[in-house]
Amino acid sequence: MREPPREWHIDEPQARRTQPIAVLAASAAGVFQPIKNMLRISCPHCGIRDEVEFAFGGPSHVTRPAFEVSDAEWADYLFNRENPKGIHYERWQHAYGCGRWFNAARDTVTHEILAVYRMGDPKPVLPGAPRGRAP
Amino acid sequence: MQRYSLVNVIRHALRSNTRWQPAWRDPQPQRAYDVIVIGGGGHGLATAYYLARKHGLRRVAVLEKGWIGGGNSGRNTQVTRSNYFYPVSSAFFDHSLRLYEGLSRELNFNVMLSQRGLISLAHSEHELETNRRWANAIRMNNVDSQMLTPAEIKKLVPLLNLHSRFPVVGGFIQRRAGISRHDAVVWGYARAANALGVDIIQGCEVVGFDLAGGRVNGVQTSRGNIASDRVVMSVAGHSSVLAKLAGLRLPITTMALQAMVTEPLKPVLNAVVISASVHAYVSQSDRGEIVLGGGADAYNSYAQRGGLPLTRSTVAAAIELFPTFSRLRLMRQWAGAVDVTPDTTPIMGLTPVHGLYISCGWGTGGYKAIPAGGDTMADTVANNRPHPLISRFGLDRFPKGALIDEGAASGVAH
Ligand SMILES: Cc1cc2nc3c(=O)[nH]c(=O)nc-3n(C[C@H](O)[C@H](O)[C@H](O)COP(=O)(O)OP(=O)(O)OC[C@H]3O[C@@H](n4cnc5c(N)ncnc54)[C@H](O)[C@@H]3O)c2cc1C
Ligand SMILES: [Zn+2]
Repeated sequence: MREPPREWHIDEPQARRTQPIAVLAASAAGVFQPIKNMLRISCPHCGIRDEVEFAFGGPSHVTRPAFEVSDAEWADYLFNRENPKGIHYERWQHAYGCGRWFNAARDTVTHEILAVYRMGDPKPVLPGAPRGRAP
Repeated sequence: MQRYSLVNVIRHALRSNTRWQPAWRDPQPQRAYDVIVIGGGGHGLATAYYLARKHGLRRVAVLEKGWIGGGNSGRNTQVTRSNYFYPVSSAFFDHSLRLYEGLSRELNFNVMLSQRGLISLAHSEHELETNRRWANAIRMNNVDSQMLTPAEIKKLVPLLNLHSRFPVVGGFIQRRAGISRHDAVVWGYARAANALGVDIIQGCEVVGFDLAGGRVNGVQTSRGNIASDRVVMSVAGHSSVLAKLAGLRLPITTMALQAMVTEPLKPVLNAVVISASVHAYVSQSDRGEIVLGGGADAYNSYAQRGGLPLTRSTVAAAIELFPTFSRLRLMRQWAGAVDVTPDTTPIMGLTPVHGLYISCGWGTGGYKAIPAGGDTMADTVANNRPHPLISRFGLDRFPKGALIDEGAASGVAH
């Protein structure tokens, strides 16, 4: 594990600050320090990194049913999603890092990442779940 | 309803504008309604309006947990177009654009439709080929579209940099497309529905359904129970949460779609410009702000707050196209919780629960669909069968595999 970076808040109300577009674009090109408003994800293999290094893989724990199921059940597996307002158990890949996949439990309202766990591990038991407050 | 007209403006001005009535009442919920519409966005309000106007239903309520237009209908970038690829999409969205063309008169409310044209850019020969196929498909669908050379584009949009990192090699235009005023659409439908007796009840959240024997008998709300055997769900990003209360699972993912505006300028841009490759679209609002939009954040979100990486890439793409805009300051950035389907086509029609109807999956592009969405949904509810224009938009297309992969076909989401 690398050194965890200094603390910062993902919730900083960046929207209220006025930024010249050129500064935003320059920071996109890495010229300036990144502005603080993105996910900081802890890869189980590499430590905490910026959101831009990761690829989102959709919900985790979706199990493929047997081949004999009805069309309705097959469609439920293919298309229907839990899509909770609160804790979402999801897959991420550290695409621009070690390349490995892992799971995270993230609050879809606060964007807070509550747990990171390995592919194949069961959903972690989180205190106070289900959560999520109105925006 | 007090009509808005030049005569009335002068009459009220003479009385120092002290006698204008509120545009809609603030009624208490009644015990029962003929139809309850959940969600006071454009789709919910338009559905209620057409139920009252075209189908003679007078006891209709719109229940809105916050304030009307507080969801995506008041947060979007107002692009109003019908240049869709598949005939079934094109027929529906062009019906919508036609309704938009007469909407200010219909509602007696200026929705500020400005058909300034929408230009889709191609940045490579391959993209130009795809654009040509798309533009021709649109014409086959009886909707206007026309290929443009770089010189023609430059004439329409002088500030556009054709020789950017991804040079502009051509594009096509739908001249009838453009923008309109989102708040006016919401308020116009609300005012006109109210005038026909529809109760618009704000600050009223639906928290459960009264179900028995596979039918709906009413809803439970933060302001008590309300009975009705016909209930429409039109709550956009909250569709999965609401449908779950009725025991339904939906093929919807809720994501944050963001937009931003710069400080206002004098008129400099008289078209909507979309680039699917660099993924940004740009227009100028009637207040002079440059409106920038792009894609949605990749992950599920109900936060109504977009992440910075996408803000940056959108801005970077926009100033690549319009280098002069790099001098501008961003005034605001915001996001809405959009309801995205696997095929980016909306979900409209009946549900497995008798009397419960759904209008959702509008995702990143349902503002332009508000008039047609309301019109066809009202007809569907009044007759308890899908309106012909939306018969292929039902939930049953998923088990059938009859997806309408419009996003892939048209290559752009808005
Ligand atoms: C940034 C952005 C840009 C966009 N740009 C465009 C564009 O250029 N062109 C275009 O065509 N489309 C665009 N869209 C998409 C468009 O805004 C939406 O598809 C459309 O507004 C959806 O309308 P609606 O009425 O279904 O939902 P909404 O307007 O979101 O209304 C749903 C309402 O339901 C209410 N609600 C939720 N749960 C409950 C409950 N339990 N009880 C009571 N009420 C509830 C909410 O408070 C909300 O007011 C954009 C969207 C965003 C976010
Ligand atoms: Zn890693």
